[in-house]
Amino acid sequence: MELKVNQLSKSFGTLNVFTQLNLSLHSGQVYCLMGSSGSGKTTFFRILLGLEEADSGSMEGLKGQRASAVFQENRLCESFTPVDNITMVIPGRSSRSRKQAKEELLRLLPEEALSRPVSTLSGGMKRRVAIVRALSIPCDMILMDEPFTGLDENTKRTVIQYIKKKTRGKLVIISTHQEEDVALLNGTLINL
Amino acid sequence: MKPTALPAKKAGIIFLWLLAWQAISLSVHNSIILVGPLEVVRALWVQAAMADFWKTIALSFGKISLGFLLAFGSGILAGGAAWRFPLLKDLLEPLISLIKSVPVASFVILALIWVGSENLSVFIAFLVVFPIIYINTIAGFMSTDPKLLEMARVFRMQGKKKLLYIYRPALRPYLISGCRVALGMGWKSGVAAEVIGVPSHSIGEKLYMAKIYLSTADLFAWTLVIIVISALFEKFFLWLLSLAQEV
Repeated sequence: MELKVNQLSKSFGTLNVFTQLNLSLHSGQVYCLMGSSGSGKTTFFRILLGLEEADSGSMEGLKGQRASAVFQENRLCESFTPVDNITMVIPGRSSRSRKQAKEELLRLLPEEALSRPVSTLSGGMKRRVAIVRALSIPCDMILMDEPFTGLDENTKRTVIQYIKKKTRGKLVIISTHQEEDVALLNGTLINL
Repeated sequence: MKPTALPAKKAGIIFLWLLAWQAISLSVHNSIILVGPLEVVRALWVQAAMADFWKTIALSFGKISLGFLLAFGSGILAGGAAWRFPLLKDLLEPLISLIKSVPVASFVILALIWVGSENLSVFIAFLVVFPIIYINTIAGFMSTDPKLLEMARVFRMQGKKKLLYIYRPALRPYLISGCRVALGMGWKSGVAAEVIGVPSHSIGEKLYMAKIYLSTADLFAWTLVIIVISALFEKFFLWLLSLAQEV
């Protein structure tokens, strides 16, 4: 897919979040969105996901494309297990989805964590569940809003390898505050 | 305090009150005005030996529980539909307000004309429980985390899974607190309806007879039966609800 963002502007009252943003993004690429807090990274993601409307401008190439996301907050169903949280978003029968969910989760989490309610997991573990969930559904575009928050360096590198493997051929946009992430992800930097 | 000391303390307090009750009844020395706990137990013992006692409990329990269960099911369905379609909520609002504000006694007399005395408690329990469950269902749906709903929208979650994983946990605390209130209210108003309608083989009929014959011991004994059945049904139903969360 090719996503073209033309003259996109968004403001909340008198606060201009971004004005006349122009971007051209392609499948198979990882784009790292950087900018200070409040520069509109999350708002841009929300517009791409159809959760917010832009004030002006247009986007081409989104129609018929399926998106997946890691939100800034984990947005997990806390009383359910990590396996349940993945199964609930995978289309189709639960029995097959559970097997798939377990296999994927085991790449980033210890087995004992899979059967515990999410509310009992550490912040880093919850983040990994949110990442696995985003990468478990069939999609064309993946948006990740600061996905490495709460991860230690070693875990972060493991997660990056997992992301790279699971997103081949897809359009990936990741927001981050760490410049080194751009290199680790072999990404293209976009300053917002 | 040790955990085992708590039930012992509770039992001690209850025993003290029973002792005070027995002492007062002895000092009053009039079995029409007040009977002591020993006389209540004796009256209960005499009643329990009769086959009619168990038939009465079974029939009253069956009818009031049926009214409760019908109201529980339809309250959830109507509440869910009203939450989904605001026009329906607006349409039902005057009706719910009316049911809530009209005294149960007025409904009982009206229901006596409509459905007769035999099924009166089913109707009254339904009428009292329905608005409680309906209102709590709407409140539960409205308490659903909007961020999780956005997540479900992005991931295109199937309706059945959304109901199971997002709406059900939000609904559960509201339904449990609603049920706690509704179970007690349903039982009290169901029995009150039986006292007015006097259907045969009902707890209400027994209470009415106790009044006619000035048998305070029987009145207390049947009241004790109502408290025990109501408490057991509440515990059983809340346990069932907790099972629904684990499925």
